Amino acid sequence: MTYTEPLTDPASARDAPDSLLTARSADAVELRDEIYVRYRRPLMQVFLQRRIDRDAAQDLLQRTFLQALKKIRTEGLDDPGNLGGYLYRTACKLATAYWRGELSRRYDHDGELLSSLHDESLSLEEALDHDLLAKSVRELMTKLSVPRDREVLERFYLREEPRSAIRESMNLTELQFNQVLWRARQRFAEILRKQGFAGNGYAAHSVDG
Amino acid sequence: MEHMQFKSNQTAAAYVAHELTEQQQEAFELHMMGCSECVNDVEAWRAIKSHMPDAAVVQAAKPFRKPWWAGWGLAASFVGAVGISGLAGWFAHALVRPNLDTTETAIFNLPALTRGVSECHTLPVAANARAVVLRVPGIASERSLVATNESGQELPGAQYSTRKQRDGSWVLRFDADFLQNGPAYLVTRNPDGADESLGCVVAAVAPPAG
Repeated sequence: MTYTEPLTDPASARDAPDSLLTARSADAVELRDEIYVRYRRPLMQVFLQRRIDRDAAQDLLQRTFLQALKKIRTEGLDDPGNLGGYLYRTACKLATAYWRGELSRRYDHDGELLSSLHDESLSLEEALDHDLLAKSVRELMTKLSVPRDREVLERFYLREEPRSAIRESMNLTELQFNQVLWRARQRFAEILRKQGFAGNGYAAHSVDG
Repeated sequence: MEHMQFKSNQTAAAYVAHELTEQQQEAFELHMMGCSECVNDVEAWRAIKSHMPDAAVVQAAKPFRKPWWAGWGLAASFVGAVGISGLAGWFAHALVRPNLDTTETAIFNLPALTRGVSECHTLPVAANARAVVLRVPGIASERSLVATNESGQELPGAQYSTRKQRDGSWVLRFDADFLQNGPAYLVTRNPDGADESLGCVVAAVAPPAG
């Protein structure tokens, strides 16, 4: 596995990771902002995926960036193109340390280092009010016209049944199962768009499939 | 190419459902580091997973885990849910049986989470209750629900009636006096006669709220 996957998003591809690093001497603050804005959302998902609650994940997120920025300042990166991979590995190690209880509960982070970071890239959970998001999901469930689609989603996400069991009991092929998910994602994008949420290209991307 | 595969395989949805192998997860997470579109998908699926409503769980157990006077809200919602489909049946019932004042009918929901083979639920009823109505959802479509005595014989029609609703749930109506004198055993039965026990219910007079 390499850490040099190309940036597939045209908007974010305008600044390759290595260009962010080579620019650090010119404008360190801007560098920090760029790195933070670009990587905070995927890294947050990495923590959430490991069943770390949002508050702790925010803390770990800051630790991740602090470690990365310190390394860039002191040693630099062997391969600047691997910045995303380096951040990812750092986040994974911190998540493991978190579950092992190796991290102090409150981290005394470098206030000066992060004070100027401006969050310009909100995640869906951050951008939409909790109640509104819950309402949107309820609307999604009621607007799925095929009862089978609702059942698939409930069993897959609420009861956390394996897809093989769901497919078998409902006589669905893998393609049909994925089509159910695709339809649900489409509907959810439409609902978010109706709520006026098109942040980060949410609706547009999902409509494109 | 990798991105297209992730999209077509609905990898973001599988990721949130913890369905990926360790290697698949690592590959997808590394891809996410540079793909805001996939991050969008993951955030959307995580929001759906986190906020998915579960009406069954919300309704579960309240009549049986709290004092009966705390469960009137649930009973009211139950009435709303089954009222329309049950109304015609109740009117038909009224033609052959004495009309029951609503205060003389106790209504309960018995969702799957609250029932078990070894359990016997006590249904709190008012002293003047004449009928106990029990809704039992989650019965497999090929099975039917009956009430039996301790020895497994189905109760006579004078003591209870049962029917399936349009939403797939079953509604049983018991004579309140009968249910106060002894338990009724709930049994699902498939066409070839194989039974499965859902435990039993019994009624007991409980004091009014306040």
